[in-house]
Amino acid sequence: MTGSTSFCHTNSLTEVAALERPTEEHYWGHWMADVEGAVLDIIAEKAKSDRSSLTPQTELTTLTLDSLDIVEIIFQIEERFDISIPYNANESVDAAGAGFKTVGDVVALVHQHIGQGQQPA
Amino acid sequence: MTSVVVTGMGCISAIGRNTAQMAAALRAGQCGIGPLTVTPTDRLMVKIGAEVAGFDPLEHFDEKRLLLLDRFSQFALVAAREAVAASGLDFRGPVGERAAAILGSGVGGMTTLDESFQRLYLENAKRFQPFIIPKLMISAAISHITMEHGMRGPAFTTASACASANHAIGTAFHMVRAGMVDVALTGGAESVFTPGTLKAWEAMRILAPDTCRPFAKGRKGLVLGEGAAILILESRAHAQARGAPILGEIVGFGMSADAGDIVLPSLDGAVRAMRACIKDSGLAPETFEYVNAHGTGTAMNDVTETRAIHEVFGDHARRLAVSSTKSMHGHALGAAGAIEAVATLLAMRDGFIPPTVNYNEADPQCDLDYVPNIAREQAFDVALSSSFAFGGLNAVLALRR
Repeated sequence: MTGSTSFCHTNSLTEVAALERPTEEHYWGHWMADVEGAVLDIIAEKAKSDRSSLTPQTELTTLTLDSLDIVEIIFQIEERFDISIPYNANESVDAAGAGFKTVGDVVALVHQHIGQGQQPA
Repeated sequence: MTSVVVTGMGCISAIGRNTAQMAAALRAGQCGIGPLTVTPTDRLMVKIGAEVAGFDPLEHFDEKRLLLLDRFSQFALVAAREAVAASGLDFRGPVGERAAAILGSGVGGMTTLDESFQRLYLENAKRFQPFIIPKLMISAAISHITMEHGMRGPAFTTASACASANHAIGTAFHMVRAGMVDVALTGGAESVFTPGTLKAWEAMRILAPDTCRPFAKGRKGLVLGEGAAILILESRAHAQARGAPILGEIVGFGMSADAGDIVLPSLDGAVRAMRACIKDSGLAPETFEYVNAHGTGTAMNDVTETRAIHEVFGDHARRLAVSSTKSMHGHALGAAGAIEAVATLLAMRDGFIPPTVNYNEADPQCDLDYVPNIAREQAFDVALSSSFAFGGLNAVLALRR
């Protein structure tokens, strides 16, 4: 499973770099949509779900995802966007503690961390 | 059936360089978890561990010998020296041919492997120091112990991740009980504080960033530890004939495989291993007073283990004292079962129950007596010590005063 996804670093970084230069409002719209699209792709693939059946309101617990899948999804998102999400699997038992419950929560989390990454050091 | 007694113990962990220090630390509820110092942490998210801080190998070994000794072998040899000295045995004599040497380790020489690969890949090293292979092999530690002490009987290493040491001790116990050998040196050794190993652990997302709080609400996972513990097992007749000190007895060993998930614990597997152990001991479940739990501090393990203890012991579960000494010495993986067996025997000898430290708030799903934070002055005679490993390989020991 990981073999197909672990080493796509170069592509993803290039793509993100291209996405990180929105100058006008409609670019922002594009960029937001692309983040959501990429997250949905990753989740749909792991859940073996039809991509079009996923909405931001879809709860992760309604998908056929086990704890290994969640960890893999976070890993793939981190690789895709070159971000670090401080997710601890011990908190997945308590969805509130994990910080995300729905597909939309995951997208929001990614936006939050990409945003942090853009802050000057 | 042959009674199998313990006539020597040695231990090195985050809470003591020897068994005397460890007994004092267990009684004091001393937590050995702190910032990692033995490895760079700048690229790690989790920067804590239960390390044998300040360990200087040159206090124990000369430079030439250290070329062959990974950190896990160094720990094994230090613990073995203490245990052999305590037993009063000299394996260079005839007893050395009737002595088994069986050690558990999860991964063996990771420090050596990681350092070597860094040299190869980062520094473009053209060649390696000649003895990397015999230094990193998972059986290196027990080989060095047999060489240092002249042990010439059956010798090997067991590997079952976090249950490695319990599988080693249980196998040694059964070999002595069966009369295959008169004496066995056994236990476990582990050292995984290398950048590569820690990144891999971190990726699993089960390491606690703060501390290890087994069975407590708000626990955030396990904290890795390192070290070694060694026990000398002996048939009671052999021990008595030479007037050896008897520090306790191994009375039962039970094993099972979950045949389930590679990382998630199984209620059924844990229950079957504990039941097999109790059956092997021939003791009634009601005679057990203390359980040294696997108690890793992960969300899943602690709930599953609590349910398993309820299922095995029924109403008696409420009368058991259950603690996880991992809250003090961390999760020493392939050495864990040995460190915990030694901890249990030391506490049994000294008449106290080791606490579960860092226990700040009760979890409704974990409803046993976990001896929170403060050791309990209470004598006990019979205990279980459990290890439930990744990969679903379980091994449980029964110990008696």
